[in-house]
Amino acid sequence: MKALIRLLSFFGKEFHEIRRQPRLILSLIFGPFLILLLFGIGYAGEQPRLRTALVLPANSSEDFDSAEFEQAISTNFEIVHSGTDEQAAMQLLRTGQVDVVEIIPGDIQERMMRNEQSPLELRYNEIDPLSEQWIQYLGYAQVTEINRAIQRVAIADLQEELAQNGVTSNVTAEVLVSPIQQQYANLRGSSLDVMSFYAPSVLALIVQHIAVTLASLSLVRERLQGSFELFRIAPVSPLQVLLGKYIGYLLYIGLIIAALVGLMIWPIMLGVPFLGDVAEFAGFAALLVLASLGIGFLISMYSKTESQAVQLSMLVLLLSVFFSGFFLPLKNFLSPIDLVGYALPITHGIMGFQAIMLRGISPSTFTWLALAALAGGLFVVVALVAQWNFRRS
Amino acid sequence: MINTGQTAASNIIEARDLTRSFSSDTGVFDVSFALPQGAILGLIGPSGSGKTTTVRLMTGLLSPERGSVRVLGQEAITFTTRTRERIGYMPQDFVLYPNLTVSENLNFVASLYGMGYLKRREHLTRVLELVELQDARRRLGHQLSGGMQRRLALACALVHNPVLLFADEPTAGIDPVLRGVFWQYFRELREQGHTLVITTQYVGEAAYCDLVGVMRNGRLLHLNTPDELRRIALGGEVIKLVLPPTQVIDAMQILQRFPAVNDVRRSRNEPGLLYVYTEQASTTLPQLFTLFEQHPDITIEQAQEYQPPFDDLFIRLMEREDAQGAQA
Repeated sequence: MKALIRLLSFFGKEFHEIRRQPRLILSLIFGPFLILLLFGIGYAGEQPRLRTALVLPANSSEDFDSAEFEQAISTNFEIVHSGTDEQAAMQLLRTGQVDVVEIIPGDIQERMMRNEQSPLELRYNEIDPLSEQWIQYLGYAQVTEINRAIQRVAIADLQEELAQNGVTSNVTAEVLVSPIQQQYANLRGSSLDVMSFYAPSVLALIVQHIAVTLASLSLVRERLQGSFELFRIAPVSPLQVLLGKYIGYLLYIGLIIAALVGLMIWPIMLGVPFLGDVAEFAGFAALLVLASLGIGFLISMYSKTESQAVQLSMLVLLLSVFFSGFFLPLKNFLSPIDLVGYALPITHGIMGFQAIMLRGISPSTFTWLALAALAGGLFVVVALVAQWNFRRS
Repeated sequence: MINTGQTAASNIIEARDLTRSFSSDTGVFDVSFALPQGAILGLIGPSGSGKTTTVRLMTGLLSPERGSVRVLGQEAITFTTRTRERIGYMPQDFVLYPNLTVSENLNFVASLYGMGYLKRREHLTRVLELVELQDARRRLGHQLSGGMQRRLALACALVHNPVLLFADEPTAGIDPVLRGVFWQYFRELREQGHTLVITTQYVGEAAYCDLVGVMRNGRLLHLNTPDELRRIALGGEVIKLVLPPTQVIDAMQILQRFPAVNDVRRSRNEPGLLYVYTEQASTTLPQLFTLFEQHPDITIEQAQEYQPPFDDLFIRLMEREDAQGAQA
């Protein structure tokens, strides 16, 4: 009974301490919500709008239709300038007024007749490798589409000539140019909007960050304040101190998660889908919180000052953004670097939250086991270090 | 071991050759003493003399490099939960929570000691009354004055009704009135049967203790009752004589020849004041009246036993220690 009272003492203390900081609570609940809301409102998608200066051929053949070209190009590129002066277009690129200069060849047909390919030049001045990949991909897609259009016209002309000579075919130019056509089927019915897709990831990131930050500051603050002396003299074991804090923070962060998820899924707020089982979600979230608290407590044991604890918490956040699959897919990382991602609770948190919330299915066995192993392993390590720290004199 | 005249069975603390060093000249060295139950032990000494380290060794916060300290019949470093429940500790600094109220801080500490809700309520009321913080129970820690924070710290140390209380400089940095109030609390606790170990830089507070341990440079120089300490410092007892300043020289010569007088000193500030050092003031005082009856040219205006303040005694003890050190 006394052991239980000692455990709950920390819950009571943490609860009272935190409830005295209403701004902290509001920022923890409404901060992530507002970020997600802004993201949902403002995010225009991954494909960049590339401002393009189009350089048309000065001496083009009669059958060159510049309007047709412009229309085809404007599907992927935002044409902000069009003309025949290549130098003027390049000047726009150098001064940063356009992202791409696209130079259209004027003698496509003549070159084709000479069995030559015509270059369609895309010039850019880019430092972002992702943007460069986009330009090259969109350029490729555009050239493919132009080639198909040319082939369509050529085949149609040829079929017309053959028809005049009595040779007919029921295969159209379109089918001859593109005998295979892709078809898409999303089993879910329709894809989610970008905000809904990212909502579970943001939730996992916020949960981990709150847990890590609170736990990392908790012990270091009490150690600096001198409260540890009280604990060391009182009939309370390091394990009880630790368990008490785990329980206190678990319940506290649990309330924040409930409030945050409530705001996310409320149709008149963000309307993020929640298709899975609430109890399973609660259990999974608890495991994520426990694993994250383990990282925080470990930081707290190591840190000598509060600023050091905050810095290390920020490093965990940075690691999480890069290696958790939050933005960059985890499978894009080479082994064994990808293990960094798997060592972070958020990585499994994102997978689990997406599965439960967006797909309405249970997280995979691997996700459950990995998160449980992280939570359990970190607890054992933290308990051992706490035992050593607590009694060290 | 400094003997306090008690049997081992009744001693609540027994330290033997307790040593814990932080460098060659800082720490605690060869401290031995025994403290009987139901007494107030005051550890006095200048800053850095080893008082806090001694308390930390006695509470098990530090482990000794050499020697041992048994508290409540157990080695401090291996206290069981049951022993810890019988110990109260008031640290030097305010280590409680500024964002919790007085009541919440007390509840938290009481819960650490495993006290259930009902028992806690009863004790909380009692200690809040003792430290006179009933009206401030809903105030936050950071809203309390320095003195109130010290009182809250004391209340937290007492909330589980410990048998033995360690208070590390409880009166440091608080006004003389509140210091008096604190010593009144301590004496009340002693009357209730508690044993207290209190460190202080205020040498004058030694007068409130049953036993005084004088510490310097990590060593326990003396452990005695305040009266005995006075005798050691002064080499006996002191009689204060007031006479006309013109007769002081003659009176000193007469007194120095008198066998019961060990030493005579003039006051630096008051020309007609003499301090007479003797083994026992109550015996020598009537003898002095008889002596001066034989010298009608000397008029004794006032004669009484004098108890110099502990600050003076402490300085004397330190000076004596320095002199002995120099001789060695």
